[in-house]
Amino acid sequence: MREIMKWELKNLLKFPILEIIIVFAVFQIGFVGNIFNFLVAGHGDILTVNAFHGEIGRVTYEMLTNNFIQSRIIIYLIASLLFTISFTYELDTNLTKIYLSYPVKRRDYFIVKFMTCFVILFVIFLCAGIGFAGFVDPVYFSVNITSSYIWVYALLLFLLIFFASTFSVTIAIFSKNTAISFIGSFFTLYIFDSAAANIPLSPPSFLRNLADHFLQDIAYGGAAVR
Amino acid sequence: MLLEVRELMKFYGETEALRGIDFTMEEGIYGLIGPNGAGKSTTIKILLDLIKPSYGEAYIFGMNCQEKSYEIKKRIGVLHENSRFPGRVTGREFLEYVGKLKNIDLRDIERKAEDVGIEKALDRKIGEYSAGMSQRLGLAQALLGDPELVILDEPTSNLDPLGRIEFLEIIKKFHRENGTNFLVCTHILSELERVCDSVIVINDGVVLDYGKIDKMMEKYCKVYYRIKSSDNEKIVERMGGEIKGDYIYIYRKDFHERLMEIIREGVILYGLEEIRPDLEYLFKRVMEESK
Repeated sequence: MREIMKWELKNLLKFPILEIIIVFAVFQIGFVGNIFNFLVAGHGDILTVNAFHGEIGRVTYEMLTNNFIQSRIIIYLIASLLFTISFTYELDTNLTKIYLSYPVKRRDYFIVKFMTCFVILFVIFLCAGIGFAGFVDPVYFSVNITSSYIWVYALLLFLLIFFASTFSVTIAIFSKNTAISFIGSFFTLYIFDSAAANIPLSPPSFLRNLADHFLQDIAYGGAAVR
Repeated sequence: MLLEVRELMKFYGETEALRGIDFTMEEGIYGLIGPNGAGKSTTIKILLDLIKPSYGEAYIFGMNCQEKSYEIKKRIGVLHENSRFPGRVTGREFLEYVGKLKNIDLRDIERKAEDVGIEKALDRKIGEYSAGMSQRLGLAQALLGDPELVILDEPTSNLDPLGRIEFLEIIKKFHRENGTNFLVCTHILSELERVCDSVIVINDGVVLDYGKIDKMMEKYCKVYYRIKSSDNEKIVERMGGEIKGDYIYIYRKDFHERLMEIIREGVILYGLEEIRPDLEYLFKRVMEESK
């Protein structure tokens, strides 16, 4: 299993998937979320350099987490891309058939591939999120790793990526066509997310409620964040 | 017995891909021959436990292919049809990965690369390989660890004629030097008879016949003789046959005895040629007989 995981990592690292993930993660968590909040907050009329920097400086872990919850689309896009490359491309080119002809258990093979993709997504988005917050707001850079916001962010990220991954991998395996897998997976996730946003206990709704609950709890509980 | 297939059936909904095939394979190089859609690849997928049969059983080395596939795969090598290997890694990296999965001595990689003629390209990315080199890489990965049985599914379909001959020569060499057994599944028969001892003829999901090529030739095909002589009419009168231009085409079981009698009577023989049917003709005859 270790060999399969190493091989999967090696293959994925040959493709610029990690660079793409990092770019998107930074874009999503930092830029989009921050500018969106900035404009929504009614500061559009004083968009000077100083004002902009001031707003950037206000990035907190709370904003980070809220932005993350509000813009799940990027994670859906990346999950669709990663699982398409890892699963559908190999099925499409007969590589899976080749690998399963070696002394490898089918169950182990697919579990390891899933785990590798999942871990890549989770670690990159976690590091990008936390790293970005520390970068734009040095006050919080020294925040203890046990900060509640970090754990809330990690939990929400874990759940969201797990949801997107299971969805993407199912479509990736059954579509067996690279283009259909990527487009189908992304749009199905997006449509499902949009449609289920207001349905109680649906993944998007559940995540939002969870975020609200934890963040309010932390805020009112006087967690040492700001 | 290396391989045994018993009443194997496979249905895809209403479609019958295999309709109950039976055959056995002993040591040697076997050709699994049949037209496109005959059921060759489906049979191989069942042997490798990539799909489950609807009915019947298959055994390799006496072990059930569905129940003991992990153990079987340790002892076999496979090259699939239209295989595209990961283009972003080098040939060496790919073979090392295969070697680790097969748990073999990684020094074998150099030897096998040399045997199939890709040793100089080992450190190049697979994406830069030509079709022929990619197929040789496929053969190298199948041969890693000196498996007892190697299954090749349409191994020469995307190679040029020279590439096909070279590829089949490598197979022949491996069988001769290492005793490796091969099951070569193909619909291109012209080169296959260079290497195969035996054939399994499959069509429309059924095995029509199988066995040693010589015996099957005897059973299904006639050996013709082409003769040019000083008195063609006399030969035709005595032995039968057909005159075409300067030559007589004859098929007789007692050909040699009767011909000697005529020669003793003073007829001069200018030329004698035995025309043996090829594998394509044998395949055609087996198909005709089965109708």
